[in-house]
Amino acid sequence: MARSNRLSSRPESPPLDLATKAMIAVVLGVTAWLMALPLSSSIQQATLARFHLRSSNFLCWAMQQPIPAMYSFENRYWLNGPQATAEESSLVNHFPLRFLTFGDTRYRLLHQHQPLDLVVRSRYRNQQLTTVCRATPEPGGGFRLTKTNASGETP
Amino acid sequence: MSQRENATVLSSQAIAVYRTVVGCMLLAVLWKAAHFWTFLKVYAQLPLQDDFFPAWDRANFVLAFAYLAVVSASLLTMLTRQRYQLRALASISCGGAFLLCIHQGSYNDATFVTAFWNSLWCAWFIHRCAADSTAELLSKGAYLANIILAMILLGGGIGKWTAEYWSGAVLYEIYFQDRDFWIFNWLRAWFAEPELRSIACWYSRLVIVMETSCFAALWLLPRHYAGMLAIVVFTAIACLSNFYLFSVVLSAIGLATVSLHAVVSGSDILPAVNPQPA
Repeated sequence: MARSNRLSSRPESPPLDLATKAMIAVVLGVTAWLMALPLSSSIQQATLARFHLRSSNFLCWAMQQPIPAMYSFENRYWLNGPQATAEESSLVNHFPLRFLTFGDTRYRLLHQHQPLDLVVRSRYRNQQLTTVCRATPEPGGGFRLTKTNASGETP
Repeated sequence: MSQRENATVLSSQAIAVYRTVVGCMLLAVLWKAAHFWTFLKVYAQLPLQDDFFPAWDRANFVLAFAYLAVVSASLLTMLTRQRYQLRALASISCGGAFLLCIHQGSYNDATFVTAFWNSLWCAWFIHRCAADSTAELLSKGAYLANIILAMILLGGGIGKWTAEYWSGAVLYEIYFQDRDFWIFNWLRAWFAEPELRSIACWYSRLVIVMETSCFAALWLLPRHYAGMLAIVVFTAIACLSNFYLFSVVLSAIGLATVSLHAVVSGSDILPAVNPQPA
C-alpha cells in the first residue's frame, strides 16, 4: 500500500503567494525576452547596443544587465594603435568592449599611456553593430573613451 | 521550538538549504578574488572616463564596496539564524550583486549575473520563510530555482543560435586555437588543425543543443532530476572549457542543490508515504 502511494503520489504544489508569483513573473519575462531574441530585430538591436555600451541611456542598459548572455553573438575586435601587432584581431565571448574596460586587458593596452583605437563588431543572425572606440590619454593619468559608429557618427 | 521562535528563527533544514545556496555564491564570488584585487589597482592607475557610465558607476570605491558587501553579507549569513538579520543580509547581497552587474569595472563578468539571481532567490526565500512551512518553502524554492537555472541556460544557448557558433568558428578561435587548458592542450597535441576545426564544430553544436535542451528539461523534469541535471551540466561546462567559469556556475550549482533538499522534505507533505505516529 505504501509502495502504491509512493508511486502514485507526487508532492502537491502549494498555493502560490504574491512574492512567489512576482518572482515567477520576472523569470518568465526574462525568458520571453530571450526566446524572442532570434525573432525580433528590435531585441537583437537592443542586445547589440547593450554589448557595445551604446543603449539609448544608462538606465535602459542597466535594466538589461541581469539578463544572462554568456558566450553570445559573434564578437570581434581589431586593435589599431601603436601597440598593435598584426595578429591583434580576435573573437571574444561577450561584451567586446571589455578589452578596454576590464582589468587585465585594460592594463595591457593602456599602461604605456598612448592613444589607442579599438574597433569592435558584434553579429547576431542578420543584425550587426560596429563601434569605433578611441582611448585618449588625459593629463591626470587616465583615459577618455569616445565611441563612434563605423560611419564616424557619435552614437 | 516554540511558535514565537518559529516566527523569527529558520528551521534546521531551511537554514541548511539556505546556507548551501549562499555558500556556493560566496565561493563563486571569491573564486577570482585575487584577480579582482589586481583589477582594482589597475582601475586606480588607469581610470577610463566613458560618459556612458555615471561617475559613481566608474568609481573604484563603489566597486570595492559592492564586492565586499556581497562577501561580508554572505559570510555573516553563516553565523545567524535570525530571520530579520538574514533578510537584511539577503537584501545587501542582492543590491551588491546588482551593482557589480552594472559597474564599469565588472559589468562584463557573468559571475555577478548568476550571483544576482542566486541572491534574488535568497531574498525571496527569507521573505517567505515565516509564512510557509519548511516543506512548502522548499517545494516552491526548488521550482523557482529550476526555472531560474533554465533561464540562465537559455541565455547562453540562444545567443549562440548563429551561423558562426554552429560552424564552430567562434569556439575554435576562443578555445581550440591557443587556450591553455587541459582538454584543449590535449586535443592540440593529438590532432592537426583541420581535425581540430571539425572537433570544434561538434563541440560547439553540442554546447548549443545541450544548453537549449536543458532549458526545456529543467521546466519539464521532476524537480530532483532537474536539480541533478543542472549540477552535472554546470559542472561539465566549467570542467570542459575553463576552470575560471566556476565563478559563474557555482552560484547556479548552489541553486540546483535546493531540488535535492526538496526531495528529502517531500515526505513532509506526503503523510501517506511516511505516516507519522499518532
